[in-house]
Amino acid sequence: MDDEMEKEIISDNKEAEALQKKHLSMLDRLSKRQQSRSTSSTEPSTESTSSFLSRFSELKSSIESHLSDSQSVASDPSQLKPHLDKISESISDLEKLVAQSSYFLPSYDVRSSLKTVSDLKRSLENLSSELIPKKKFSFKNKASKKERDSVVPESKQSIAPVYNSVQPSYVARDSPGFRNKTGEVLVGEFKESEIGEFTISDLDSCEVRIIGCIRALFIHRLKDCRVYVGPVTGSILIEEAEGCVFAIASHQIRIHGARRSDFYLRVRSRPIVEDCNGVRFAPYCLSYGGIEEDLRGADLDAETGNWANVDDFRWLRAVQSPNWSILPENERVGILDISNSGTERCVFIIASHQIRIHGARRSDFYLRVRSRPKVEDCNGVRFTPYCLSYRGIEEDLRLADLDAETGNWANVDDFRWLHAVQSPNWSILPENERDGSVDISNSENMNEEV
Amino acid sequence: MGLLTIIRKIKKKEKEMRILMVGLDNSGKTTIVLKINGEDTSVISPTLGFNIKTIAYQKYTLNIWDVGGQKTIRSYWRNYFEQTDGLVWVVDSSDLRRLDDCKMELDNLLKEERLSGASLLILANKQDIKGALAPDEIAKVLNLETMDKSRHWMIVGCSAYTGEGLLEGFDWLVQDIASRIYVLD
Repeated sequence: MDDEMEKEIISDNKEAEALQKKHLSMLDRLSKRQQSRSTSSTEPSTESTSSFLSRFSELKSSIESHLSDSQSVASDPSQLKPHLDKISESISDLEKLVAQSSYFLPSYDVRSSLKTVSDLKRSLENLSSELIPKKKFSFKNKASKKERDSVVPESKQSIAPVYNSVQPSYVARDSPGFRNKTGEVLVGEFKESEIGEFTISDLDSCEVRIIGCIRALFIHRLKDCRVYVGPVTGSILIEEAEGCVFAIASHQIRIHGARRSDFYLRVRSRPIVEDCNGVRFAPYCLSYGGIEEDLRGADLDAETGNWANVDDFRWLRAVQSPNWSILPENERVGILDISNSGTERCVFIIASHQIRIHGARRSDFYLRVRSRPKVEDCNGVRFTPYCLSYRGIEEDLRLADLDAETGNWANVDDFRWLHAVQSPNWSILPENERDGSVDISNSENMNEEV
Repeated sequence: MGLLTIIRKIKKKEKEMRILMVGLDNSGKTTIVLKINGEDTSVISPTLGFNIKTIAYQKYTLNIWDVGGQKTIRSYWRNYFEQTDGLVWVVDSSDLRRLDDCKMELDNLLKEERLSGASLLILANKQDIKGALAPDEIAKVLNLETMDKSRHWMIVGCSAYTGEGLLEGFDWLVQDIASRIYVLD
């Protein structure tokens, strides 16, 4: 057994020894091979692909970072040109490197690095054409490009400011118009005289009445005004109005920058709004003696229905613009009568069986009347009981069957307001504003029966 | 105007001219175009967008582009600049208040490179309205004398309402364009 075992061990040892030898020699060979390889590679280090690639990518990333810097350099035009020149130089250096290394590089690497170079060149070109416009166009394109860029936002911004431009730098002459007034009634009558263009501007809480035809009307900056105008044969341009009521008739109507305003229109073409809000439209309802003739003369006698065909230049969609609406019928005023022949700011103390009042404005009526009094085309009229006295008036009243107070002074029928609610055109004169008894014993005036 | 364009135009049998009408809203551009074309001018809505009219004028064919002047759509004018032979700037001579706006918009327009070769006709419209400024006064306000020397321009007083002055203006414009474009004719 022992022998056998020993034999085995020896043989094992022998085998192991042999194996180890083999292994060592292999290691030796390996290390030798390694050595020879490493020595061979150290010598032509500039000709290795890997070192070329690392050098190449180093240069490439430096060029790329310079390229991306250019945007910030661009703010200083004097530095931009040398900066771009420098990049262009480094790109050509890179190209040279590729050319020098091409004889030992695998063809794939040559192709890919040449492609990288041309990509870099292209991005430099793009950048410089972006930052410095091409020579070909430079003298004009440069200027116009900047101009155009600055013009666009300006024209957009200017929408509000332009309306606010205070005074035109050029006023050739005083053109006819109503300007810079507060709380006034302004009346223009152009029945006989031919009037050209007319301006209504910078009014606050005014009432404007224009009777007769005018050629062109400009309205600018009104606040809380009422503007009643006869036919305009040309066009009307309204800019900036707030809290106003307009009754206007024209061939063309443009409304810019109006807010919370009502427009009673007659217009041959489609009216337009631009930058408006809360504007409402209704048909024209102006009246004065001879308006029919004026409307006919201005070719505006026919209702075209265009008062409702409003184009909103700020709302170019199929659905209704939120900026304007139709004025509901029950909120419309009746006929607006601005006849000068009409009665205004008067006080009447009258007694009769029947009383009809037409076209009166801002007047007070002290009435005794057997039937219900009637108003038509009136505005701002107020009613209160009769208060006249003179010697013998009781007898006169009795003879006229007017001695009893019927209370009808307050039962006014407005023929221009056939709605259940109280007419906006008339009211009861508050007691504290009423006159006491008016004694006219020696003279008879302020007495009118219609 | 490049050489190629010129040659193309010469070769074309129909002598076409592209005319661009611009100006502030309410200046009467559409009325002028319709009046020249002999159409009814009594119902004209403010132009939302543009109108094109092709008009035979003398021996030329005018393609007139009438572009709306409302403030909202002025920024679209530039879409019509390309290949414009003649530019017509219409002024409402009775709108004194907006003459400054008018000058500003015209100045911007004339900076436009694509319009640099176009002949410029300024129509001082609405001369029929009492109180309107005369053409020489409009020229003063718009400072036309200081315009680029290379620009061919002319100002004419007119009334689209009566038609007065329109033909005088367009005669000049067409002759001026023709002398530039069809010079080899």
